[in-house]
Amino acid sequence: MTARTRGAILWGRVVAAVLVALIAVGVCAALGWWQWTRASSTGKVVQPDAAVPLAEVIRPAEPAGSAVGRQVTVTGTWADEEAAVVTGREVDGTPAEFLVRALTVPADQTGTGAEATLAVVVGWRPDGDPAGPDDGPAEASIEGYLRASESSDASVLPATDPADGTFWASGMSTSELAQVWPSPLYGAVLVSYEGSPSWTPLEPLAPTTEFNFRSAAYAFEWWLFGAFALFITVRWIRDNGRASPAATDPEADAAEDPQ
Amino acid sequence: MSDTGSPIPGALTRYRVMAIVTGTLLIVVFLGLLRYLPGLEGVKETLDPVLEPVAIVHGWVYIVYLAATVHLWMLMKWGLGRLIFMAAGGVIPLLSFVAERRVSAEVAAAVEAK
Repeated sequence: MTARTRGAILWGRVVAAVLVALIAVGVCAALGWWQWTRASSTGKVVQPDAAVPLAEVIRPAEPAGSAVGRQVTVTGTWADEEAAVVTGREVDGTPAEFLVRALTVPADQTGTGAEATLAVVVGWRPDGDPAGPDDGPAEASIEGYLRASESSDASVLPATDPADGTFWASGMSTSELAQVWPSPLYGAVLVSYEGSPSWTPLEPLAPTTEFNFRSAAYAFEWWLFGAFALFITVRWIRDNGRASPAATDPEADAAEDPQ
Repeated sequence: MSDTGSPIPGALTRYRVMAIVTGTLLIVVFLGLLRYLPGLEGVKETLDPVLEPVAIVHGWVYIVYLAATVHLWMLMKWGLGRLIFMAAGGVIPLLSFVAERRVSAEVAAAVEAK
């Protein structure tokens, strides 16, 4: 009865339209995804800025701000203080600990006219194989990059005794180190490229890949086109998915029906 | 259909404006592709900062063009083939101008006939 008032559903047409829509949406979604992956992989590769003297990017006891991620050089002397060993780290999947030493930056290099203390990550060792700082000349000329200070959490310190000349630290936290080392302390931590005999230097600062906005825009457009194809299909099925009620021709209906 | 309440003249105007804007941008984009020819690397360097944004803008303008096209297409209750023809106008150079003239003439004829 409904066939007479609203027209029978023409399943052949509807299924064909849905198939076409699925292909169109699938193609648009895939092209969009392809552009989206290009957006994060084909952007311009930006090499980090060349190293500059420390005083050009940061002053002692100031927030690190834009100095984080900058490569710097500094010449100073290792302070006669205990070094921090930060545990619970991971380097290339290996549980690791980092050695952080206090470097006294001389007054002529801080930019403030007074000497200051810089936390320097000398390098890493596999966890559970404690070592202290290596003996060597007190004077050190270091190139590396600045990283942000971490928050500290004293509850995760190991129960074992630290190696000679070191203390356990829960993080590379300048506020935690400031309780042990002479003030003023720099607000950022220098990751050294030099290392020392017992401590392997960490990876240098990697180049960054800029996000490719053109590809990202294309990705969104492809997805919009997919949505558009879906919209047109829905309308087309609504308009053409039923036999016309005016011309209720059972034979024409049967011809359209795959069953 | 010629009464003032009809949405068709407005939809037609929007479609025509978008057809001309999209068609013009498309010609710029297509002529711009010449810069990829070998031997024109110097020209490419100079033109890239201008033509890359134009290509991106064309993509978004084309979406607006599609919206205007679909609106007119639904009002006129045309078939699917006509929609594909009109949509192709935004990606095949010069076709949008041909399509725009034909569509305008047909809408005028249809409005006249009512």
